[in-house]
Amino acid sequence: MLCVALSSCDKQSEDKLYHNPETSALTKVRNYGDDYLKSDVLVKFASVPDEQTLNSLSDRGVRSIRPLFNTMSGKEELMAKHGLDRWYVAELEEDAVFDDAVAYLCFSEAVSTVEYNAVSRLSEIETKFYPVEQEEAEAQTKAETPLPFNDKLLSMQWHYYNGGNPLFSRNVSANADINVKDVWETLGMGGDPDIIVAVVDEGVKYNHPDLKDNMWTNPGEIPGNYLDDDGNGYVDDYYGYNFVDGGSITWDKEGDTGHGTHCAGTIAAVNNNNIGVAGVAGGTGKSDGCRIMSCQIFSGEGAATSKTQAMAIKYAADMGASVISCSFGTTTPLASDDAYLNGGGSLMYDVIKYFEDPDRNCNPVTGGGIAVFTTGNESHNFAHYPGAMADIISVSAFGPDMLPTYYTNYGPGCNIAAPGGEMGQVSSTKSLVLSTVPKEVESNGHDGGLGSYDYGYMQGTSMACPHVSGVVALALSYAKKLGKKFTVQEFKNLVLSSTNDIDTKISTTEKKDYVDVPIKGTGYHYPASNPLKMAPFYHQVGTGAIDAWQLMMHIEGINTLVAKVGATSWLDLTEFFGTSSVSLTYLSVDVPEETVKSLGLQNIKASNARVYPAVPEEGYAYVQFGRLYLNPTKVGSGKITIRAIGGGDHLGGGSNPPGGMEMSQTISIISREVKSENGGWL
Amino acid sequence: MEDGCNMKKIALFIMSALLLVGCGGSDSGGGKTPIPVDVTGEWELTDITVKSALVGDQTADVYLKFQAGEFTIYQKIGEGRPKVFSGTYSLTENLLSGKYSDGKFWGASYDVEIEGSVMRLTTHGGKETDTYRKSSIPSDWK
Repeated sequence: MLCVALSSCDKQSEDKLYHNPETSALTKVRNYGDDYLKSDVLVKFASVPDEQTLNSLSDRGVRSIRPLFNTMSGKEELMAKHGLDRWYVAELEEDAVFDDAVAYLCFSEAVSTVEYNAVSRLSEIETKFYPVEQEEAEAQTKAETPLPFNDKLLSMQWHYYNGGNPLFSRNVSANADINVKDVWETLGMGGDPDIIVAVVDEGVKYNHPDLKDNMWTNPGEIPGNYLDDDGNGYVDDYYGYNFVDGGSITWDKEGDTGHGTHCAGTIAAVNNNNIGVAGVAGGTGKSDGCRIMSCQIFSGEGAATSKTQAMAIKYAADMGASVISCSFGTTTPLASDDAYLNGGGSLMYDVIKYFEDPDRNCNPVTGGGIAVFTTGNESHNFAHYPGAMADIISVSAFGPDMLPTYYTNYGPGCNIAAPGGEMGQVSSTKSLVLSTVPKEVESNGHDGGLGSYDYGYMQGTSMACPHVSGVVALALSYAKKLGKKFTVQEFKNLVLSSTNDIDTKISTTEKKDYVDVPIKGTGYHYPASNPLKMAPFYHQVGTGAIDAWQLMMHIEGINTLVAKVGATSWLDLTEFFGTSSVSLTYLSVDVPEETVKSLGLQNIKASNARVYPAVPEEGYAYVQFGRLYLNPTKVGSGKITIRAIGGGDHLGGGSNPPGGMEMSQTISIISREVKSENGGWL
Repeated sequence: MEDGCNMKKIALFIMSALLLVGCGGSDSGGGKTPIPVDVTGEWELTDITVKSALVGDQTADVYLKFQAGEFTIYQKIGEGRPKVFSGTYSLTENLLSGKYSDGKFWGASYDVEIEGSVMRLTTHGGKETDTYRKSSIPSDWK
């Protein structure tokens, strides 16, 4: 509860402030947890304040109020569109009474929102990496299946290509990966330097031998001269910016973990360079990888705050990033998207919408950017915000057995899953995600990590998130190459529809047990619960496991389906909604009148709809078992739009409990007298 | 006596039937064997029943190649990448049927008519007629 003392307020004002729930100024306060800074608060004004208003508020412990965001030339209109020009930071005096200052700000009619500067920290399970020793790296040069790149450790990255080697799991599942090998190999697609991914995280080791060639650099900035050469308000922002300490990126302060460098490597470690690891969108060895921008919000022991997170995302937007990879979130359970927005997430949401705005023209495909967040690592049966927002992609984790991991959050708000690795599937760390790390930071290695090799294993939804970010970057690159255009929402639909089913495995696996793995120097063991019951995860990890190949096929476009005239027949929706189409929750099937006429559709009724859900149960077409049923009576063509839920069994948004994202696919259909079993024309 | 009458009736019925068969044949082909057609070559789907029935932006690009009992289909129906199918075919009394290399049979057999550079395939016993014209398959489809 907020404790406030305003001795100079008159009685009427006090009543207004404290006692009337409708008009209480304190309803302007936005805060969802106990962990926040007391040195400043974030203020949103009803309209852009003038000097006089700002001066009048510098009282009662408020030292100064200044704009939260730098205004870059040409961005004014876009900032105003999303209200970013109305966000200010109020810095408080050292001896200020926090609650008093907050109440004072709330009492101003010019102020619409006062948001606490909440603190986010990295999850415990990820704080140290497990190093790869040089000898091990050099020994692991042969894969069972030929791989398209010569990166020495690629064969150990089961998360890209999993051929079923028990080295990675006692219960390894072939194809428990992101299915990217054929994208690299068959399509020859490894990324595009114009597609920039901002890693909003710890600083990325930009001179890492396996990252440096794919680092984004600011062409208007001269590194290390302590000047803001390009006048964007940031000094020495050459590889990105350090929003914690100001200035250049760092990754080797005491307390740093290598988290940002690990995520960056998954997204775009340089491919085919004969060293180290591969990255999802790291190119094909021809300087064609996507670029990594480091937006540093963690530094040493310094935690990220609402303010630094928002500034980092705004920076990513202004400097041209197409994707933000955000392996962080709040751990507070929240009842709905509205509860998040009203509880302290409105700044974050404003800035994400700014990032997504197509008028930014950050790429020729979507114009706006795609935000990817984690669901969280607390084994909670709900996703953390902001990833849990109904219109933001959030990522859960699975292991090399294709099953959800013991730590991953699941349930409402989870949209999709990706490899996060899982300790305890084998006695080594090879069941984790392998990527780049800075050897300068302390690790779980026998020598503390210092001086060892620049690669290491980590686990977490933080590792799953950059897999999806990388696949998104790869897909944007491919769409750019093909000259395709999508809206941001259409693109998100395609991502969530490009999955492999996990539920089928969960339903047949009651529980999984683990190899007991001691956690070095702690007396604890992995995993926390053994065996782990799988039933709670059923239908709870989004639309399934991300599949890069399927997404590229969606980008190319999907062939028209052929239905046979004269009988009720079904069309497989796998190509449209992934192999998870069988277990998705469908919302509606929209059949336009012209389609009804052209195909001569007859009204049909689903059988056993009470037992096997059908949407709708009766109509010109319905979906059941992941199939579209219809009965055309004449040769023709048309389109049918199917809406489904991207994660879970109910939609989130507004005051609804956290839930899935609405997604839709429009399917083209030709009806013919001829339909071969394999799709051939004759 | 009754048996003899029945015999006459049966004989008359058989004669009538033969006449009807003859008339039927006369209706469809003037009593002649159909002129054999040769489907060998490369064909492009043009204005056909299906294509005429397509609405909006729906497209169907199909090329067929018949050669010495083997066929190849290059098709792109709507968006997405072209697909290629191949297999074997037979042409008996202008009835074209075939089997894909994966062992699946065609979705129908077709009655074939060829006039100059135009070939019409009508589903045997059905109403769908697809029309093709002689054409070289573009090299970027192969």
